[in-house]
Amino acid sequence: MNDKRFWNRVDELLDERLDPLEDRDVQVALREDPAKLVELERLTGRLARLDEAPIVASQFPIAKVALAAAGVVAVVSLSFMLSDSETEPERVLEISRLDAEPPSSLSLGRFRLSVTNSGLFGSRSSVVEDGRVSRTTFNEGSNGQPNRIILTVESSPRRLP
Amino acid sequence: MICSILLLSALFLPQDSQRIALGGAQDLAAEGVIDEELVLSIYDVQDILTNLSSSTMHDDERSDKTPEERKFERDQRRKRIVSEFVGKLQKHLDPPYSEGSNELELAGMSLAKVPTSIVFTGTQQQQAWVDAFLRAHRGRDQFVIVSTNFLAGPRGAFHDSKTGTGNRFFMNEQAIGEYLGEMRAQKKVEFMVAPQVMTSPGIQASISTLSETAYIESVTMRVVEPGGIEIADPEVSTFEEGVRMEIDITPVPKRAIRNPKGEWIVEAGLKMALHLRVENSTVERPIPTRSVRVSSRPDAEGIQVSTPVVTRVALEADLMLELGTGILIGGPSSEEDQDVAILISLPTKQLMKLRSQR
Repeated sequence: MNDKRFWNRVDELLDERLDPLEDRDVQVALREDPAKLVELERLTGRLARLDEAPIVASQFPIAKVALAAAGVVAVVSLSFMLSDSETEPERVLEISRLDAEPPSSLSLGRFRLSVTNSGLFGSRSSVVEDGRVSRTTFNEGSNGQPNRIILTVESSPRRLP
Repeated sequence: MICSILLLSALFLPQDSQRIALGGAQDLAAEGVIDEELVLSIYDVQDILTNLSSSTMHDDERSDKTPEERKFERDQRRKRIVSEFVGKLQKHLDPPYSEGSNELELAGMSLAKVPTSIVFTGTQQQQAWVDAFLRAHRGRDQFVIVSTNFLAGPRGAFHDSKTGTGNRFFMNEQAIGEYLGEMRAQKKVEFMVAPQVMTSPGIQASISTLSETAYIESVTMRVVEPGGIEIADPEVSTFEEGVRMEIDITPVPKRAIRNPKGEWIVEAGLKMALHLRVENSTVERPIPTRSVRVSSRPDAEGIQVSTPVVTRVALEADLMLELGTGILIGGPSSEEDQDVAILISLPTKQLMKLRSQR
């Protein structure tokens, strides 16, 4: 779905008072281009604020409360989706998975990314492999003998710095 | 036993067709003699294996080895190429290879000393996939460009909140272009080098732009005769600077599905399985020097020695991409506040341009 079609679809859904994040086409488009999520959040946030403004002057306190509550729910839903919280609601988790997982045709198997910096001071290296980051600092003495070796391993099954 | 008889009889059949399906296996399946879902097929792979082995024999002429040694090396290389090809077929087979029910064997021997056939026992769905895999390896006019971008930026510059890592996939070239544009606009990310390789699938490709520079690492003072003269004996070392890439691309068909007529067909398009090793070495300029005094004489002058600072970023990875897609693989640098990332993509636009120029 290109940008124009995506935003047209979002407009249609908002006009119909429906949550765009519930729509399958929007979910697929967000999976393809997660950057749109940030713009969608901005738009929804602005709409929530716009919704609040006229209600302040309204003479119907019940409608004011209802719309303000809807705005809060929208903002809270988006903040849940963007956060790393483990207590996300089921629907948001589903979208999160869609964003995080590539289509089956793309995959990353085993990899090893290393950066080594060497000079008069000795060498420093950082290696990402099998979900672990290991750092090594090797300080050389004046005659080339090892003075100090520091090895740090940071392990995380899902998240790397 | 039955399979052996079928195999022997099949080997005497004409090998013109690329695939020889044994109807007998279907009959046996109907009778319940073998698993009803399994089919034994023989595929003619002589052309593929001959092409693959001939494309990697060019460096033999440059060696100083005896004819016997060269012949032995060629035979070993052929065996390795054949073994790798069969291994790739087995590795990427879809639905996956099962030791219990699938069988994959080589048969026959051509004049070029490569096996002529692959004998595969599998389901109809797997057979359709194998057929597509072999067809993908017959396209000798195919070229794939592998593009890489080495990036460096402040800590967290490449972090993707969606995956929770420094890795992210790009579904199309527009997304890749937009991401690189965004990185350029931020002006915090350094674009280090962007090497590309154009290769033909199935063939291992490599490039190297490494340049070697010699420098004086240290100096030892020696007293030599006659005359007991002190001389400075330099110890010369070298460092390498530049890019090295080694890439092996295997075209992999998508999944076989049933069409409305009930026939197995393979989904359009190919995936590209990449095994790549890339590295980029850079040296800080100007190269720092320091003065060392090695003589015992009080009036001796210091001698300048170099202390180059070399940064090497290297990645080895197994990936599956499609033409037009890409992946960013990132992680922390050896510097505390820095991250590095390598963007790997398979562009299509340049490929089309190249084709139009041919």
